[in-house]
Amino acid sequence: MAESINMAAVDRMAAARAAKAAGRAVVAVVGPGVPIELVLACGAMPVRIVADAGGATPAADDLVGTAESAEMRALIEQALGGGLAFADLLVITRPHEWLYYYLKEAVRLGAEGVPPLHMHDLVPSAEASLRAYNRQRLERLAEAVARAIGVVPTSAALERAIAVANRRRAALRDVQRRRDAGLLGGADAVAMIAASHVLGPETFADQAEAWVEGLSPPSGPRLLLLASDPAEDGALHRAIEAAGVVVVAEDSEWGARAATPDIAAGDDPLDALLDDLHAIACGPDVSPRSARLAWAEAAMARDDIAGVVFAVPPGDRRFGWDYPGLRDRAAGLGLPQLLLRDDPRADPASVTAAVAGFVATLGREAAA
Amino acid sequence: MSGERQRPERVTQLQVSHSLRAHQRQWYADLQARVADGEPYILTSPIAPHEIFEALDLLYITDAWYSGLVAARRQSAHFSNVMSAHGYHDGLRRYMALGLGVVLDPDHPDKPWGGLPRASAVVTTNEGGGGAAELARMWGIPYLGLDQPAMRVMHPEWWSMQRRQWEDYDETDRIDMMAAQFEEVVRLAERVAGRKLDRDRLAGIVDRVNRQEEHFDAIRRIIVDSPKLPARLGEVMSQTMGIQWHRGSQWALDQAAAFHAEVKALADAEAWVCPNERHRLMYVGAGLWQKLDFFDSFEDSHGVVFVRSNYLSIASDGYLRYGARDPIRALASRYTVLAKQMWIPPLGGAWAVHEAREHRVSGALQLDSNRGIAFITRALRDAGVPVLDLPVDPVDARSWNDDRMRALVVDFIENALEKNKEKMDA
Repeated sequence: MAESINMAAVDRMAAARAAKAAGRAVVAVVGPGVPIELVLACGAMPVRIVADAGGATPAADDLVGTAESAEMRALIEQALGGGLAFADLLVITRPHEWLYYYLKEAVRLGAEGVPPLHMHDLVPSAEASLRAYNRQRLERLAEAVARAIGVVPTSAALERAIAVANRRRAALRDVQRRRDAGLLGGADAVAMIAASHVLGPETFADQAEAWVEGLSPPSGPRLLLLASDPAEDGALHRAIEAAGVVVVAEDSEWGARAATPDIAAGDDPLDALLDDLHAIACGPDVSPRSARLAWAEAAMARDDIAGVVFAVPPGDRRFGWDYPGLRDRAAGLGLPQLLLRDDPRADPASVTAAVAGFVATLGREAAA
Repeated sequence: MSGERQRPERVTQLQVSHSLRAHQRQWYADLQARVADGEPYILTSPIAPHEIFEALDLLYITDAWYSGLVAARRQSAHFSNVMSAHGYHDGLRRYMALGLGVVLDPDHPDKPWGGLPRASAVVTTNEGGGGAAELARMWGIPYLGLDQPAMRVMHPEWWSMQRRQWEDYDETDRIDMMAAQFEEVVRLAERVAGRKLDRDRLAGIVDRVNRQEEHFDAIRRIIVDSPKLPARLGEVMSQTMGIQWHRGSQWALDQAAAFHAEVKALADAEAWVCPNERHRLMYVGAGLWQKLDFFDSFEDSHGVVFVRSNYLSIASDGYLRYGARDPIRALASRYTVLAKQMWIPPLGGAWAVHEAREHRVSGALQLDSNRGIAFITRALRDAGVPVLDLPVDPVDARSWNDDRMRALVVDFIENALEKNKEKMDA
């Protein structure tokens, strides 16, 4: 039943390529802030692109230099190598602004195989002063998608798309409900959420329950994860949970923040989508700062967690500013904590060993 | 960690360098006294509309300026280490954040400029403003983070459009976005100041800033047109930014005029920095505030002068805005893209090549820490300008090794520049 979800972990782009081969348009997206409803309403398939970690990136290194992040170079390599050529449109969002600049320049310099680009500059902020700008970004995105696909969506099509996306939302809420109930581990949850971004939402919604029923419930101390990157490939969760613990939540759309309420189309579907985007915006890029810190502080106050793991790998440039305050907050709550500085993709064994040592400490504290 | 600082010994050529230092000393002393008496001040960042604070007679300190002053006093290593000890890892940029290190070390016996007193509010950018945000949290004061819009349309010769064609260049919806945020700045600043903003006065201040930047533009033109360099880069950078951080004030306009007059007098008198000038280099990147005298140290040995930095040039090309009916809109236009246009490809490379040609440089030295730098390097090299990347942080002295940096530059001069010159001469 859940073959597609398993396949998504092996070949993330398989469903998108298959859709394209079957004659359906595909809109590829890098970064958060794109409502899939705007793509679905045009009859196209949305697919989230993440960096293929670990591979060589010679073309990207030559273009932008090796000082750029591994994620950036991996994404550039994918695009320059034709790995995204199946897409009718490549939407790049604000956290990846520089990817847009780099690819745009690469195309100007003669690179081929890069899909048409659209910069979707939605600011992850609920500040009233930014609402008009963000609303315009959604309108421009809708126009760009419609132009790329050649379909102008009707209101009825948009309402149907919202209903389909709500089915996906319901499945993702179920994922988090199972995590909260101790029935699903963090790495499996991230794998499911990742699948939800690359399978069609209906396919995912149809298969999610069967897939999750086939998984073994996790065991071990329950930990909150506060990390500088969204950990979308699951490498961090796998490395942590290999030490015999369970990650129960994280401030990431690839984790606990994927569980969001349904939306109603109402009289103004774009406004409804914008409200939803503001409500679900998460991670170190969210402003005002108080909004993102509030989620972390509330999560640390949960009474079902044994400790908190902070993951701040060497490439971090943002979350590190939040870390000392959150560390102090955890200490104030009497919450055991661990700081990970290793890159889980480059050295997962070090991460696992550090967590194992931390878990041993938890055991001693509990015994004491 | 040592609190001892090494006092830099620097050749001072310009009289305005003395008057700037005296002003800064007095300004900080006044600020400390006024804040101690209960007067509010704003801690802010470079990408923020300081003119609004000026128009409200509201004291403000720019965090990058304060960081630069800490670095110039050779105290950056110590205060960076203080930050690290408090959990702010070494990968977080110190360029605007050394004030946090100073605040975290309240018992330090030699706090730069008397230390950073508790502010009444912080206005900064969400991107890069982490240190100021932390200070707001620690002090329990209001925090306003600003966001710049992304760019979509690239005009390669942007510097020719920004002064008068800014509504077209910066795009109406992007200007609207910044203007809406600046209205929030006005509301916060009015609350802190306890008075309403006089928008006519703000318009006058924006106009005064234009006149100040015109002096910088004229100084750049003198440097470009003179057969040899009339003023050292370190002094030009210090002077430019020392004035910029007070832009809009009458003092800033008067100081810019004096700066202009002095550079003009030196050029008219043919009083060159290095009479045996052999190579003119440009500097690309964030200011090397921890080691400004480094730029002077190849004059005697190699006849090398540094003629250009981003700071004087962006004062001309990035700040001027003419023809505004609404001063908030003119400011918003400036900040849609300020600083970014120096780096985003192809804008950064096109500007660097234009500047290299204008300044007749034979090579470029740059810090390799900014995004987009690879495109600037490529553009300069394609234009026949050799480039040396200096692997160092602009303010964090822990990354500086004098012997190594000198060796890198000497090798660059003796190999890349001399060989290029021999080839050109032949």
